[in-house]
Amino acid sequence: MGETRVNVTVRNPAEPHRTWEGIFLVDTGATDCFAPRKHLEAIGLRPEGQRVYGLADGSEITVDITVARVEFMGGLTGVAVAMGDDDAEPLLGLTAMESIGVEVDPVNQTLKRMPYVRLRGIRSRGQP
Amino acid sequence: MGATYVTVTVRNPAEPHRAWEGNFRVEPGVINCLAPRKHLESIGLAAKGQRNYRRADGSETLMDFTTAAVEFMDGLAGVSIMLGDDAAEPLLGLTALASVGVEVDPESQTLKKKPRLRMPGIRLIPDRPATDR
Repeated sequence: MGETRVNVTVRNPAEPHRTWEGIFLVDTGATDCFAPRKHLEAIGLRPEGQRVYGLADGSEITVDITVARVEFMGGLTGVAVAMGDDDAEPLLGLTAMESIGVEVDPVNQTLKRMPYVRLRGIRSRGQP
Repeated sequence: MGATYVTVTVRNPAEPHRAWEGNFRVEPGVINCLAPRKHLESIGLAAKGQRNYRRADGSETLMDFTTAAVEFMDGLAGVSIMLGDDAAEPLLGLTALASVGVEVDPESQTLKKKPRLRMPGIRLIPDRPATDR
């Protein structure tokens, strides 16, 4: 099975003119996004917490996370980005893809953007 | 089946001291979050775009959305959040739950936080340098 990559712009929400653009591996097995710390810090993003991630071999790592805006395939969303080693490959995780409405075509491994995002349950306060 | 609610702090990532705290209904059927526009705008969050949403009945609606940081159950996530009507009930959607590692127990309707999130694909960069700008 081939791999799918996509150009992603990571933007500092506090200073939107500061961006980094990278080629991210689409990884639907990852919950969050993942990017080299040096690129995130270069645009002013700092750790806002830590999170424990489970790796493929069953081991765990604790990684700093930050909150950023990511833009790809004409969409944008806020996401948690794990701050990886400087030589780590950037990963685009599932929550970013779902939030924008992007899916991986399992046959040809291409990305397709859905014309809508799933929604149900909107109601005013007090409605059953 | 009863609804599950959780206290959520919505924070403006550009001005982190500006925050609104609300009681959100947990709604895994919604991808993004939703909150009343008046509360989001009161902390400086303005619409950053519009997105087409499909309801359970198949109808679609175009809604303003913005990006924010949300905090609940000692976790933090970046999210897209819809600017709903001022009377709309705040909703905590699937991507926020997944990013913090929170699941709804289908029997008790209580929330439980997983000890870790999935990140199986971490590896060193191949011969494909990213570009700065």
